[in-house]
Amino acid sequence: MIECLGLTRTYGDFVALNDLSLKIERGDTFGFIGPNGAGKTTTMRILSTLLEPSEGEARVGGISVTESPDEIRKILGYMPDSFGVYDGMKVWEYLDFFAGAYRIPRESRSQSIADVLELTELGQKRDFFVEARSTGMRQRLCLAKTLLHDPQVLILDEPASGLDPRARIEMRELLRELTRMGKTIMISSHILPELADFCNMIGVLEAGSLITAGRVDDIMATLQSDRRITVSLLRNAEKAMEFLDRDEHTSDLELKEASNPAQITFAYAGELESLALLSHRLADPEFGLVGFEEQKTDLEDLFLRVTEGIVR
Amino acid sequence: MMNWLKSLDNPVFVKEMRVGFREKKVFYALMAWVVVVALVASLTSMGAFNDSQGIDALPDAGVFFMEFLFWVQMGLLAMLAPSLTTSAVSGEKERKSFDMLLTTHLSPSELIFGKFGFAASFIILALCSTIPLESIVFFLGGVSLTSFFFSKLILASFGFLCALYGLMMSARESRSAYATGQTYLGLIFIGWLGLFGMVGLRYASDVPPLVYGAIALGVLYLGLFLFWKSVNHLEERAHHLRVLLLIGLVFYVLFLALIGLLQYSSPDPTDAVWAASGPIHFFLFGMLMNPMRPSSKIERERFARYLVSRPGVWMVVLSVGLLAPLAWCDDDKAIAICFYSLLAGLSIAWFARGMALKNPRTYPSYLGGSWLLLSVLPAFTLVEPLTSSGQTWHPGTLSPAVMLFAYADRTPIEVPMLAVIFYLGLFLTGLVLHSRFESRAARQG
Repeated sequence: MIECLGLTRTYGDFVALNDLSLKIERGDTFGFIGPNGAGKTTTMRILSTLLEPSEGEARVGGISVTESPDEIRKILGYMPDSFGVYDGMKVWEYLDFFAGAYRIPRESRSQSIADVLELTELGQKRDFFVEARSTGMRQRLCLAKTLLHDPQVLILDEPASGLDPRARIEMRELLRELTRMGKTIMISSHILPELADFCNMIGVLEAGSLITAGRVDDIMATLQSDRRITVSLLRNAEKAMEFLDRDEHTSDLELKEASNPAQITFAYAGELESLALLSHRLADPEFGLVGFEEQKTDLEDLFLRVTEGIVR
Repeated sequence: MMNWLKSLDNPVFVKEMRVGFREKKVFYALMAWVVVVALVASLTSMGAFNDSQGIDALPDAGVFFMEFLFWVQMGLLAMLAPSLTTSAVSGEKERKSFDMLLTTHLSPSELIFGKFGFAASFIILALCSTIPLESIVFFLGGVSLTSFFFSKLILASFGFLCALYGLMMSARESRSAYATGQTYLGLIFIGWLGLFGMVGLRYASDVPPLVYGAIALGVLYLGLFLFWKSVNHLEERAHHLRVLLLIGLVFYVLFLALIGLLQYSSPDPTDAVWAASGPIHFFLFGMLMNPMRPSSKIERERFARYLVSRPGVWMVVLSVGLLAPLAWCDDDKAIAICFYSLLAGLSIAWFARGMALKNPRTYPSYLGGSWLLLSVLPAFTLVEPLTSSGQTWHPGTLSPAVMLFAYADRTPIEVPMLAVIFYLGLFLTGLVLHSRFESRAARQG
């Protein structure tokens, strides 16, 4: 549904996006991760036909963004990272304006507006003035206007930025509902657990380059092959360090003696059977083992490790 | 008719009307307009009625009343009309709602039409709101209903042009403050020229009706030009530039036809018309040789495919338009003016175009600079006016301003060889600059 091939965007000598290639299938929810200035918004603006790539090709629904931008706008809904609303306009008037701009016939406009108001839970607020609404409500209103023409593809740039925890949860539920409706979504966010909840694909961008992209499960599995284990010992931590160091599957050992009990963290690359054996040896009373746990890798770890160059 | 009505079902227009007329400042602006006009109308009419010259002088007082109100309203419009549009697009950029608008299914022309529609509606409302006050003129007499109607039409056209100029600046700039500053500065400059023209027309005798036709055509062209220029500023597209150039071409042909008609219908055709065509074309060459192109690669390729985007086409069209009518002209001076204008106008434009190929935005600077330097500097070499002899190699002949005045001043003609060689050299320099740019572009693929 979305395809980028060697996408590059430069501003003078500055390379904002460098040779980005990725493919997102219909119905996928793609989470874009990356620090500020990584090129997420540039990619999204190119896909939304607001920016021309310096090099490369981008297609949405098989249509080239440079050759037929007007056609793309018919199947795409774009929500920018920051946006303003018009003063002196009521919620329904705001949506009516955008419904007209999306060329929804006058006779079916009120139904479309009612549908998106219901979906975004703004039905009760239809006669309120938009400028007086909270940030969360404005975000939902912006999403509502993005959904008016029932686009197949949604490009959402930081839809949860500036929201309080409650509004963020509501937004997450809304996005989950859109995923269930079968929309193809590309979303960027700084709040990584948010993306982990409903994205089935992720891409990590740093300094304009796509470091990794693919199914969340596949990327996680790659990282899980290199488990991180933490053991907590009451006694002889240094002896345990020597013992672990001798094991061929362990690496990256770290001892935190200051903590009570002492903690040893290490990476383990062996099979589960040999890990079980290792835990059995550490269970010897001379070490006083009180904890043996595997650190779960989440999207936040993935982001940190990928951008640190671990996967690279 | 239905299509025209459909264009009013423009969501931007509906939104602007809905939100715009809800704003207090719009109400206050309208109120201020009516109050000022009412005040001026009261004072003027009181003066007219108190005049001791009796009832016979009332029609003259009516004319004075009407004219005075006309100029007052024009001044008010010059201040008010641009303020309706200078933040129309830049405000959207500042509010960060511009991107959302661009990704809807609205075309840039619909967007501009919607914004302009609101300004035009306000101007019409303001002009209509003072009709009851101005109708006092019919008690005084001296002004026909047709003149009254035409004065309103002129005011509305003037207001629309001011609003469109503000809209163009607003579409070009990303900050409303810059757009506002540039609009008013520009209007002060252009306004003076317009004012001189209007005052000149008011007091000129025996102005042929076709001249008014030409002015109306000019106003229409300017309106269309500003509209499509705004559209192109909103989103640079090959199609928008093509429309701009096609409008220019159509109106150029219409102007030529009108001038031809003027000459044909006149019992005593004057060669001054052909002579005036020279300086006009001198500027037209410069204005139409602009190396404008869209910044996007694909739109640039599309633009290059159009016939009207080629400078060669414009060179031929303008040269034919300038020289062909000379077949009906007997005056050597007029012919000399036209040939000199062709040589200097085309060479300067071609040279400036060559210099600005890398960055088309610099074209007005190169063109304006060349026009100014070449007109002013050689003039300093003139110790005394050009005479019949010594023109051939005189450096003063390099100045288009000097030469056009000299020809108009009935100075006997001699072929200015130095100017011919200089301008041909300038044209060749332009040619070299063009071919260097083309070959560099070809190397870069």
